[in-house]
Amino acid sequence: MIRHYLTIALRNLARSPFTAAVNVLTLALGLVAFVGAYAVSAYWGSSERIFPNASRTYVITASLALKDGSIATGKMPQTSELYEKYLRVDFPELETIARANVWNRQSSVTANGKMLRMVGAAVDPEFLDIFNLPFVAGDPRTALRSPTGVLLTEAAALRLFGTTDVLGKPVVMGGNLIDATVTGVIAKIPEPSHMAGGPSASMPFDVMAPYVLYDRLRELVNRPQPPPDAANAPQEDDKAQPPGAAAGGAPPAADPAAAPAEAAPEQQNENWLGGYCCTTYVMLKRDGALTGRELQRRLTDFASRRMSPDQLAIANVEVGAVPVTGLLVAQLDGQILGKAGQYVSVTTLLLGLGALVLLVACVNYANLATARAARRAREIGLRKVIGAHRGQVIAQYLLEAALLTAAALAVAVAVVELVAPVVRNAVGIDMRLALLGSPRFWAFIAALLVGVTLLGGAYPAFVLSRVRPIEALRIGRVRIGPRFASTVLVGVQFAAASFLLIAVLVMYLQNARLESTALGTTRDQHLIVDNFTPVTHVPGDVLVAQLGRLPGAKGATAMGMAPWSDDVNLNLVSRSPEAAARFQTVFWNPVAYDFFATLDIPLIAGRVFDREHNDMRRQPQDTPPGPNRPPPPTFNIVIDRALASQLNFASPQEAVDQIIYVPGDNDDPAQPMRVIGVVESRPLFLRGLGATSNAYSLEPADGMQNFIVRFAPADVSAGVAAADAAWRGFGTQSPFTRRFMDDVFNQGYETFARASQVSAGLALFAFVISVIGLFGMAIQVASRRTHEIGVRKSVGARKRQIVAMLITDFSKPVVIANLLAWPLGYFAGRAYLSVFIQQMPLTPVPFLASLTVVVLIAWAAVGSQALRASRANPATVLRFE
Amino acid sequence: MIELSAVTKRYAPAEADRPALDGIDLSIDRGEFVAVMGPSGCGKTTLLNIVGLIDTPTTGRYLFANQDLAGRSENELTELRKHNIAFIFQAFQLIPELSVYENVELPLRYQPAPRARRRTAVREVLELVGLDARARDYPEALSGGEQQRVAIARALVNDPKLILADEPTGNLDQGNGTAVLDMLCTLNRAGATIIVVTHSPACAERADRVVHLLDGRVVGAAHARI
Repeated sequence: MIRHYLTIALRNLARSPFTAAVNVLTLALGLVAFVGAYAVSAYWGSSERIFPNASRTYVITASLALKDGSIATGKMPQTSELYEKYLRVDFPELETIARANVWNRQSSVTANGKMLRMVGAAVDPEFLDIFNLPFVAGDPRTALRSPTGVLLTEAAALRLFGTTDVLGKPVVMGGNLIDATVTGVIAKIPEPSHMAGGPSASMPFDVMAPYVLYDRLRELVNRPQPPPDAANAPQEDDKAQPPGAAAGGAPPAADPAAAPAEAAPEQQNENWLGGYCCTTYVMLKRDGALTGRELQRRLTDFASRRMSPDQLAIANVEVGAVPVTGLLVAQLDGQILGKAGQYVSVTTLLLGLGALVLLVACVNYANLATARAARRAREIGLRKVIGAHRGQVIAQYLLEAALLTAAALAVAVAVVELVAPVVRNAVGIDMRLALLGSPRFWAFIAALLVGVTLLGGAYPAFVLSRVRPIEALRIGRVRIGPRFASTVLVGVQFAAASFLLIAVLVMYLQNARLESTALGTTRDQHLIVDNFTPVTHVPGDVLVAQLGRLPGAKGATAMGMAPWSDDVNLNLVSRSPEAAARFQTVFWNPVAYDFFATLDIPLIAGRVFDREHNDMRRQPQDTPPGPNRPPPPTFNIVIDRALASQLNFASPQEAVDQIIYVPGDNDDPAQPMRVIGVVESRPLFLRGLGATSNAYSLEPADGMQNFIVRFAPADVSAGVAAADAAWRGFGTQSPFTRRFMDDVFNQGYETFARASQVSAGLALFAFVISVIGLFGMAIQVASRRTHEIGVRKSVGARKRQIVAMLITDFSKPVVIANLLAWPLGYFAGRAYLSVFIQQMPLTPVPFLASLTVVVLIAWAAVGSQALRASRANPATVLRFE
Repeated sequence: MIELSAVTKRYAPAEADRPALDGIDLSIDRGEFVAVMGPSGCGKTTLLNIVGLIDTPTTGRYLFANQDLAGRSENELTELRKHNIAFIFQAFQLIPELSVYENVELPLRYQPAPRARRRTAVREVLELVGLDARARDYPEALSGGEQQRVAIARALVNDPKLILADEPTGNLDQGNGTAVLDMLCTLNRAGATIIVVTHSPACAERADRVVHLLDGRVVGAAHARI
């Protein structure tokens, strides 16, 4: 019987090749979206597959939320160094624990008299017990047991020595601070892995050193120029720091990441709110005594059990663990979804959007197949008369749907295969990993074949099986299913497409706003020069002065954190020194003189830092904590318009000369600060864990790492060459490392740009399918209403009126569907905007624009059919009818 | 074989005062050849549909082969129909995507019958209707008379106990019409019960009995071939 059904199906397809092609094409569009989403998700899901222990390795996560709601980090796969210490106490049943820390992506490494900037990572020796890195030279068992042994990647070895035969060769870490020896060479780690070089990799490295070497490096870096406080400390340890970890104001609890492990403070002073420097890996034993689920359950209150009452009063810290195979996705969740990443993963979202487009395609198929099935009612009637059961009719039509689905799947897989190399070159994602070679892929394809066949074919098969043979044989063409069914099905397609369109419009508008505001109104270029004085020995103030004197330079300054980098420094400020006061989370930006002029940030009230006033931040005396400790000296700060508003100043002018505070901690009093000026709000970072405003303190350029010089567009080339020459003039071994600020911005912004491009592509697919569906419905309805149109024309209706009537009727479901998509679009838009520091107001514009686009597209799709129907000659139509 | 008692059929509540069938009492014995005649809209086809189990009476009782059909499910009626009843339609009702052979074979596929038996049975009936040479052709390549012979072959292939024909000669010229009636008579002589709805006196003349319907009621019956 199946052969008979197949024969019938193939002959039917052959008799209507155009309809079959449209069905296959629309289904294929939906399947391309879903198979593509699957391939990308499967690619991420296959991360760390080269490491045999990956299935029993977990990464500890922490989720910090301040109780006033100002900060909610979401689940971060980072911890402080405290975690490793107490995990050993609480979980003796773990096979091993290891920390890893990318301490600097521009770390200085010297060999053969050549200093290069490299990504430096510090790990505990147990790291190599967990991850069997692809050693091409050296012994993994001993390579990091020596306190001066370091591993190089093959690429790094080639850069430093011009060869990979470097075992036992000397290198100097931190520029010229610690002598080390190469004890291993590592081959390129294949993607996808959090240790490979992809944009979401959290642990890429060129050079890997044992943690003890890193501790010594920190000691040496901090010794010659002890930083006045944590604000200037993290340059060689360049992680994002939640408040309390690194502070520009009164320093909260000490940051353990900035001190050697053996000098860890007493438990009551341990900072569980900051110092998120490391990735902490734990490996379960093979015996299954401790499962991943049990580990996660027992970790929940891991931090809160040890937090001080002061910390518990202001924050919740929830600890967890994610499989290391999910680390890459967890990183992406944080980057793209921000707080929303707690509830939904990027892969789930991507598969969900792909499934939405596929649903649109299935609904479209169901609609077109039902419309077409009406023409086959006589055949169904006859089959039933000669003995076909309903089940047999259903089976026949499901098989037909399966045949079309199989054809569409073949097209979709071929398309995904064809575009896979393009995707790999563009974004580094190899979709082929999850395609033809994988047995799971074939299982997925089989499931998809069944699912899509049922989703698209079940409805037409079901309604066809209910055809009454008497009617079918008598009039040959009967109504299949309820009258409103096709309208509802078209409405469902347009609701989905409208939702995607609204989401895409919000994304584009937000991204456009970000682009237009981020880099200011000036077309001048900002060059960021990296200089870490303890390593380069180039004094910061001298460098600023030199940069300012370059030909074509319009200004030079320095800043603690590079603008638009992932490294942010947060702090809390309030209008009251009371501990119970409401605090505002802000970006804390240590800056040098001329910062605002160089960055083109306009002053709107008061003044900015200048050399005529004593604005330089004064450091508190180094006295032991206690009630007799003198209050810290007030220093001057500049805030932006957003912070003035958040602190409830009636106007920027009112904020000038007011005192605001950074909260105290334990026995430390609050740090008072005088607002000397208010500048325009200008975002300097993409993401901020809840912070949306800026405070600026004036710090010595010597302690900073990012030196910014501004050039007019015409002077850039000459300016860069001059900067290079000036750098060489300092006689440092350290290479001249510089970036343009808009490149740094584009690098961070790329993730969002790609997310909106993917969404736009999916929306386009959904629209093409929906329009084909609407066009199909227009043909069907116009043909069904031929008689009605004939009667209307015979009683005096004009062609124009008929066209207007048909277009209005076709527009109704589209408009209703669009309006129904608004609430969902609103929530999706809000979720996307919540990722950004500078959010555009969610106005009706994207919603009205989507309505306009949808209606215009609908008119374009049905206009020709309406016009054709309106031309019907009533005499012919009515005679025929 | 067929016994209808006070059978009524209403298609819509609005037809309460004018049902399609109104208290039909009719008995047809095994092996009878019955012609049903009457003006258009008198309920002939409705009667045929009810007898053929593709429609059900609104009220009344229908015994088919001594089985009361009241309350039977659609699937049960389908089972009874496919093993006992065959239809021949005025418009032939062949499936254009199937060849002559496949159209004739279709009822056997739903039995289901093994392939060898299907092949033998189909060849036999195609020889019987004189279309064995056209087995591979599609319906659109056949004349009206040939198409109706295919429809008859399809009706015969299952060896049904009852053949229902709705205006089987309505779309045929006189020569083809006569040939079709000859075939029906042959089948009847071979033991099949045949009920033919017709406007054609020539067709009615071949029947054992003619049932006249008017406004959904039996208004007379005559033995045409005594």
